[in-house]
Amino acid sequence: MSGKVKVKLFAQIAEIAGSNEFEIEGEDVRDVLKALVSEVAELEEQLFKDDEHAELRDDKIVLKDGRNIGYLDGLDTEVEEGDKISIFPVVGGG
Amino acid sequence: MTQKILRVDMGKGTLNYEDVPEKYRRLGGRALTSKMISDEVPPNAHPLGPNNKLIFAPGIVTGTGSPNSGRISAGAKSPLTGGIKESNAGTPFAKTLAQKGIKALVIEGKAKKDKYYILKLGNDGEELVEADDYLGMGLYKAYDKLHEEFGDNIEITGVGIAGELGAANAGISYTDPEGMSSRYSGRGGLGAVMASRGIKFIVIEEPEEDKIEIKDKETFDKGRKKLAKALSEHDVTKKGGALYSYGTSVLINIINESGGLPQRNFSEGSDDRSAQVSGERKAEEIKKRGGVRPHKCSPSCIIRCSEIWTKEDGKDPVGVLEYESVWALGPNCGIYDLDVIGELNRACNDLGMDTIEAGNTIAVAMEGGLLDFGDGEGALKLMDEIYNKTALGRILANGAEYTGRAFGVDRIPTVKGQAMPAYDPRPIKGIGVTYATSPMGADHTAGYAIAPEIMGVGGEADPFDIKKGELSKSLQRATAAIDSAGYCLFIAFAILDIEEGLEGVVDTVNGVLGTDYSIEDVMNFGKQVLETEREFNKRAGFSKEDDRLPEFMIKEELPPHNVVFDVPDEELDSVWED
Repeated sequence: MSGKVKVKLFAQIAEIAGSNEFEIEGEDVRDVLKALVSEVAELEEQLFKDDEHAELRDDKIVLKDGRNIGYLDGLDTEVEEGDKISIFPVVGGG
Repeated sequence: MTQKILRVDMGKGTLNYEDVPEKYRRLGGRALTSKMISDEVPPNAHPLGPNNKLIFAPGIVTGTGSPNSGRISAGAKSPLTGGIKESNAGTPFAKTLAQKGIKALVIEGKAKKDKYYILKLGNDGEELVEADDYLGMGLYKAYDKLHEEFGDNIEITGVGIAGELGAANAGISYTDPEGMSSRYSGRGGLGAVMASRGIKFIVIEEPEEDKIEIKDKETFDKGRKKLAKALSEHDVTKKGGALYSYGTSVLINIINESGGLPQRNFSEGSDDRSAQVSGERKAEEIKKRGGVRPHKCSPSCIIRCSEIWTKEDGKDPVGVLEYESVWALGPNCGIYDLDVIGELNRACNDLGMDTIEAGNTIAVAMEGGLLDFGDGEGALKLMDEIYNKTALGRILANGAEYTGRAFGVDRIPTVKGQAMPAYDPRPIKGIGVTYATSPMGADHTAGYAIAPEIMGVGGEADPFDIKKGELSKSLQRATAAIDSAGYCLFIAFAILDIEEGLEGVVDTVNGVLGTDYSIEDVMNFGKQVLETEREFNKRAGFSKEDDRLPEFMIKEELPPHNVVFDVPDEELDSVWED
């Protein structure tokens, strides 16, 4: 599967990227995030623990269609045309 | 022991300082208010009647200068739930009461009908002053006038027009550091308990001598430093972190994206327009307008999630617009305009009402056909009904459940009569377990499962997983302990992840009390607080059948995830098993 997905960035991540919405093509979440950091280099160290793009940093939250990818297949979670990826720093409040 | 209990009997007009009995000496905050209510208030007492009591208690560490220790608990039998209530606030009033040496302030009995007083706790003595000039006055103006009358060196707590109505959504307001009416023990109608005693305001003068005793200064200082370190390192609580940069409303976007931000009286879990009222959007607007962000709600705070929202021209400050308030008065009413939300929040602060309950009330009134969802102007007019003390205003001031009944609504988002906060429990089930089982009624702060379920803080838990009894139980116990210690609940973000921070909390408590509690002892202490509260509720007629969510949440699927609340009753009941 693959297709164009909508990527939405929030809080400090959007400030770093200078934009809060992207359209990116990929087969899984890792693909999408890799394409995102190739577009916005400043996000590389914000999102990934290492150059291999093997692991997401612990202080970031990535949702696919409102579900944390940690409860799906992590970075290997497949994406389809029209899916939405939302990326947050760790937030708190209440 | 220099600390005392101050007992004010409004029936007799007497004020007496009492020694603190041995059984209360190691208690503070919620542990103390709940224990005293349980000991002194008959469970069948009418919440507005002569046998109910209102008790204020600073936490164990409140006023010591330990980070984020500026909390106070107010406790009584609740007019909203009919059960025991503790409602906690961050305000400079808390440390002032503690430093004056008042471990608990008990307001009991009732003054003559329609007579209201200001309880003045001055450095040259205590007195009851007639408050007739303040009746029917909004609290922003009243606090200005009180400062004129009693000087700037005071902190205030008070009740507004909603309290004068004896309404179940009357909160207790406190001064913020600017002296405005913007800090609240909002939940549970405690303002009506205060007003029904005949107390309109309590004015306390900054004491000349700090009477807080720290038994073991070395242990206390060690703990204070450990906690400060944890708070300054954790991503949520550090300088430049999410709370510091955007305030509590930073949650609007993530809860909306997660499908759990209730829209239009809990009809949907997300709406793209929510971004218009997000924390990011608000922080940007505050900067443009010249408001204040970040800001402390009380002197010892190092997280600084607060702010001062103003009108577009930077004038007429409201105070903080919290996440819960923005949601309740905003998306839950189909309103996506921060200026309208700001004015609704101003009206709540001015009338002396809880914003969560008020927003839910408006949404239920919308569902009942009184006005359309999204009608901000109409919502503001409903506030005028309360200002004018009309029959409709009196219904609305009694909260969501009461209003729902008045307008024939069958989708009323309450537990034990108290309206739900800003997380729909259908796609985030752990918070639903807390709503259902907390002795307080639907209360997110009672066991904040959102931290592990959405933020991955304090462990990780899939929000869809229905096995949440254990999670809610341990969070409720930890929260009861934090509320008793006198710390802001937001320290939990750091201390759940950083062990040293948790040790710091225990060290500071041991330092103040001269005890040798372990972390396990503190959790056990939280358990005892909960058991005291549940026992009171049982005697007041509650059973496990009251630990349930409203029927529509079990039957009606919530978009976009299209899920119902499917946690089995046995799982809910497991919260009360060992």
